Amino acid sequence: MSTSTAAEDAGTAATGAPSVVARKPLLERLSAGGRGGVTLVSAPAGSGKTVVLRSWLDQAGVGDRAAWVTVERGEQDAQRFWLSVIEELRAAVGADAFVETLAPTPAFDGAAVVERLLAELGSLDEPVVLVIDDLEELAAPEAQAQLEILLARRPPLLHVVLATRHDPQLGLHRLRLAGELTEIRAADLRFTLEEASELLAGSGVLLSDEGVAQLHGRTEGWVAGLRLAALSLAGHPDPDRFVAEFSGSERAVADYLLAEVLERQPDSVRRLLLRTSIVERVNGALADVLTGAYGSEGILLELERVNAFVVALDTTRTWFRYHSLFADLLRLELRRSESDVVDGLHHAAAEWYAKHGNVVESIRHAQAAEDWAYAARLFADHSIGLFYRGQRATSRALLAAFPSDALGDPELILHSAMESLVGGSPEDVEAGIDFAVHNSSAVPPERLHRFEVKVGALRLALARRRGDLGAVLGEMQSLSALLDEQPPGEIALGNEVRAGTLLNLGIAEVWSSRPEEAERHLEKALELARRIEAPYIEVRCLTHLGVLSGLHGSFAIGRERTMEAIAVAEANGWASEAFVGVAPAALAGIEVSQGRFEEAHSWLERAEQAFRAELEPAAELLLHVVRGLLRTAQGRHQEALDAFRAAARLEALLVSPHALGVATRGFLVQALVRLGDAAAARVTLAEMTEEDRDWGETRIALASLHLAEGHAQAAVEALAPVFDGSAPALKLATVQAFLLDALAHDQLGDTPGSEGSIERALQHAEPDGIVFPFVITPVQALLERHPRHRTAHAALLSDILDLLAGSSPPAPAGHRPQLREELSDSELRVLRYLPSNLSAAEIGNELYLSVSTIKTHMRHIYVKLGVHRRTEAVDRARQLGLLAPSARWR
Amino acid sequence: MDDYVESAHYEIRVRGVLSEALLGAFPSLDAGARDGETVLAGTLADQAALYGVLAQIEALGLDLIEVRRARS
Repeated sequence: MSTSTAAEDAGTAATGAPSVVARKPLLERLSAGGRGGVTLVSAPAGSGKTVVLRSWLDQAGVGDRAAWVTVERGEQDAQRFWLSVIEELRAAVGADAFVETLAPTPAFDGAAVVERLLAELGSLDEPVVLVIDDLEELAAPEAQAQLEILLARRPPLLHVVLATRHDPQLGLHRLRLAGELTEIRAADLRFTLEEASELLAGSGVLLSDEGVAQLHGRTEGWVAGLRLAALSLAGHPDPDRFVAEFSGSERAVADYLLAEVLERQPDSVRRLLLRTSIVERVNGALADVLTGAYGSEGILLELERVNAFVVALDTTRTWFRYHSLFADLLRLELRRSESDVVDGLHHAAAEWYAKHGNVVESIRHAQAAEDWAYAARLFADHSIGLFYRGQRATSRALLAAFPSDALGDPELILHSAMESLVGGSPEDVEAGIDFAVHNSSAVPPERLHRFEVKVGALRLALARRRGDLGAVLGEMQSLSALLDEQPPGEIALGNEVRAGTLLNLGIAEVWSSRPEEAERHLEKALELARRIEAPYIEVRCLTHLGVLSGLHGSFAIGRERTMEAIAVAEANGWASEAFVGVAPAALAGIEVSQGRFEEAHSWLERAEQAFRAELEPAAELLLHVVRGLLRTAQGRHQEALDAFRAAARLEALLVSPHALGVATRGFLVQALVRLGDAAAARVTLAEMTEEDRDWGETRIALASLHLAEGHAQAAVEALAPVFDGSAPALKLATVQAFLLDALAHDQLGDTPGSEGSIERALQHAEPDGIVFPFVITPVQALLERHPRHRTAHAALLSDILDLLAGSSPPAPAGHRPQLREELSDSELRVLRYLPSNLSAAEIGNELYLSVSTIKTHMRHIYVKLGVHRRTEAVDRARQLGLLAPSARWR
Repeated sequence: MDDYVESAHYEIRVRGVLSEALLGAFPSLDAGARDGETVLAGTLADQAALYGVLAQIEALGLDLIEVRRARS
């Protein structure tokens, strides 16, 4: 995206080049439209929109608080557009006032991004201008809809200016009716005779008044025409004659004048102009390659200096861009005069870009040269990188640019199949792989290895998505072998594929209860992801390592890992993309287990916001189970049952048993028991497989049914295999088993047996601070009677009793953080209002302070608490005891 | 089955006489100049192709005067 500021462009004028014609009435209209309105500048190519806006920003002194986004040619990538908008707004508003950043991800969610942007802009306290230039180039359909939303709900201090060649479909008529739209159209932008005079004089053109009038008449005040004329007329021996001839011609204005300009240029300049017209941006080095000459940089700088439709893209003045109309005309002239060199130029550009790491441009130019084989190779080599770097839309657009007969290329087919993996059906992916492999004889021998690695990686990803661990393991073995025999030149490709492959395998192993392998592979993937700087992979590794610890390891580590996953995601600005929901879900599970139900509730909410239906079933299952557990703790047993049922339905979609599958069914039965539906509980138990019945969770469910029906002895017998190790269970279930056993023994009048079980429950619960089973099993009386002086777990026992009595749960062990810097009294006063729905302005009313003071306090609070959002500040403050916990559930 | 055919013959009139270079932007159409205007005529496959031509005209800053269509 073009990021030069208005100040830099105005600098062009300051270097003694033809000055920009001051256009006061227009500038005044632009400023007038700035009361938080929308300004539409809609006029054909070459009307001078960009120049007017740049000079307005500079003259009106808002250059510092202006965000300028130029839409790329044919922009198909909504994510890239919004990334620019956010980046530019952030620079304009100031990084500490505008906290959100956004790194690209494969899972971009435009609607969510716009929501967050609106929320962020809602706390603006000074006006800001957002200019979107070349809006007509925005071809990504979702981006337009999202922009419409932004416009409709923009905050009062945001002035949006849209510069475009034709009126956009953004609901502007509504704004027009409401009087919130300022329009500047072609007629407004045309130069008056006086302005034309000024332009010509400023360019050092000596033309009679008649001549000026003639020129103005012929061009009808069209700015591009006048500027082209000025270029030809400056230093022309007979300006009036030139104008007379021009007026007498019937040719289209730009056409005629450009030809004149070109004719008057020295050969080197003409050659440069024509040959570099094929690239969107050019620097001296690239221009030298394209012209086959030296000294291009000097020519470009001079062209820029005389305002010949060449603009420097940054303060260093190394990269330049032509005005698009100018470039289009040059390109056409090149095709006319030297059509045989065009393909060669594109090819040279493709090679240059490839060498300089600009993947997308190199592929585009290879395609423009119609060298499909070369383009396909470039694409195949880089598209995985593009995927992980969140440039999927661009990648898709590049793929779509291949002609249908080139699509028989097996490497391209493979990439199409990869595309189908996210958002397509497994059958499509499978068909694509098969077809690609079937045609693999067309792959050049030196690329065959790479091809096979990708086939293996794709098969692995597909198997994982289906939950087919057997197939995953098979693929991994052959893929490992392939990766090991890799020739050194392929390292870069290998790392990305390797990291993604290890990740996929690790995830499959997590859900299929193979914790050691999962840990090993995920750790490796994590290390690699960090080394190659692939945060998307890093987040997913951390997430699943967290799930793993939650299931089999220590809760403390699980908490650490999931929080780190969330932190990395946030650092990259990812908060609502689907893959981001898994870590909060896992963390919610840990919180529920430790009896921190309120925290669990907010993490669960966060997870649910991010999850979409298309997310993989294995992860979604976790979400439902956690919800079910939380509802059980809250006494909402029907909802708990619904959640476990949803989880059970998902399990049916998977090929291998899910790590939480048995737990799901076990808890489902327990929910039925709690709802008093013993019959349904019995039926469900009867429907379980032999294998299921060997698991602890099933035995526990059975025991709970027996206890509900008063068969204490049967319950004890049902639980025995859990204790002798023949029916393994997850930690949570094991603790519950002891509690049920204690209840059973109590019902049988066996007090020592009951106390023994309580003690063992506490013993198993202590290391991870497991509290949940104590809440959902009616053992409060037993706990109260438990002899304190004989227990080794008095502290835990107290905490649990406190919790059951209704006071707040303990902070997790080792997590009573200290504030590095205390909050001031005024900050504490503001903090107390944060849990409410009151806006900053409303809080200001309550405290008799201005909005900006409130916001300043809020910013300081966030920094001191180490958070980015109001809800997080509330959570954190509660953790630190700065805020009272909210009402407890029973 | 309807014998509706999407492609049609179009005549698109723009202001100004277009040079050979500029005409290179409309390879699928024939050009005829008259009275300071150019008529680009030819068969276009469908509406999308038509809009493509119109977009090109816009990109080149030409004045679009008239679009006419006849069944081919």
